[in-house]
Amino acid sequence: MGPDSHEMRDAEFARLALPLLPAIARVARALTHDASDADDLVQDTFLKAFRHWSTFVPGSDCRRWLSAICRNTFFAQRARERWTTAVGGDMDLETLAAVKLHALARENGVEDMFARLDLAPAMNNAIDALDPPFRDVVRLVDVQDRKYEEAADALGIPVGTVRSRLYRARRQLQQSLIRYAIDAGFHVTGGPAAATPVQPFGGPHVTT
Amino acid sequence: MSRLDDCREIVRQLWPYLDGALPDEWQVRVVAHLDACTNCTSHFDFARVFLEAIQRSGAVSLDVEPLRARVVAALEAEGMRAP
Repeated sequence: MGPDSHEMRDAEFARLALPLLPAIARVARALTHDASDADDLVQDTFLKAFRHWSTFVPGSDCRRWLSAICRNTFFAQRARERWTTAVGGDMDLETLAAVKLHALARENGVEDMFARLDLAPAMNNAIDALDPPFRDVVRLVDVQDRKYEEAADALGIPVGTVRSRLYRARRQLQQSLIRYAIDAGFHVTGGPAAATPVQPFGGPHVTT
Repeated sequence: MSRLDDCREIVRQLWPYLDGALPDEWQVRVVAHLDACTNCTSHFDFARVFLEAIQRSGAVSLDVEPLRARVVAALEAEGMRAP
């Protein structure tokens, strides 16, 4: 590669790849859950991208290309960890579970817990306690407001898998937080629980 | 379809609806149902404030300028000329 082609490569990289740093930083933050690790991952991603810039297809989606490098780098670094968590399950059941958990919250006087209480510390603890595959989709979709397709792209998994993991993760988070609110005595006595019992379609209540 | 069956069908769309991931046809159907069903509306409201609580819990600003400077320095050490 001659001096001119080096110059062209550098200019292209600066024009196409570097502006995507904030987007890749968000992906890295979602994957690592740690600011320092995320910064290291972003740096590794851009160094690899620069070294292999010749493999980037002009006109293709640079963000997707960088996301793939970021993801592959992260997974390679965490290869010793298990990434085969079973994530099967019925998505219908997960959404119906959300209704039953609402009923449980109402019956225990904590229906308005998410609006009334500062649950950020408990929420962060609950998110951290999720298995990594579930935590990743929550971070991307619920915290970073990414679409299912974008999360699938960032994680290299099908959209259907994003959905199933997301819905199950939300159920687990709701269970954790409702249990937390009840155990902490945050219930409202004489609240809506007594006045208007919610109807979760007559099914059995979820046991937490 | 009975009212109960209709409610069950609608709450199956709870998460996709709140995520803005429903096809238009279902979006219209859910909105119409929620207009008329306070019980289902309460389920959706509970789920919506739950999602808002998740988002609030992770609302950290991401200042990437120091990181950008660090990455550019690493790239320059790798041979890239300053952009």
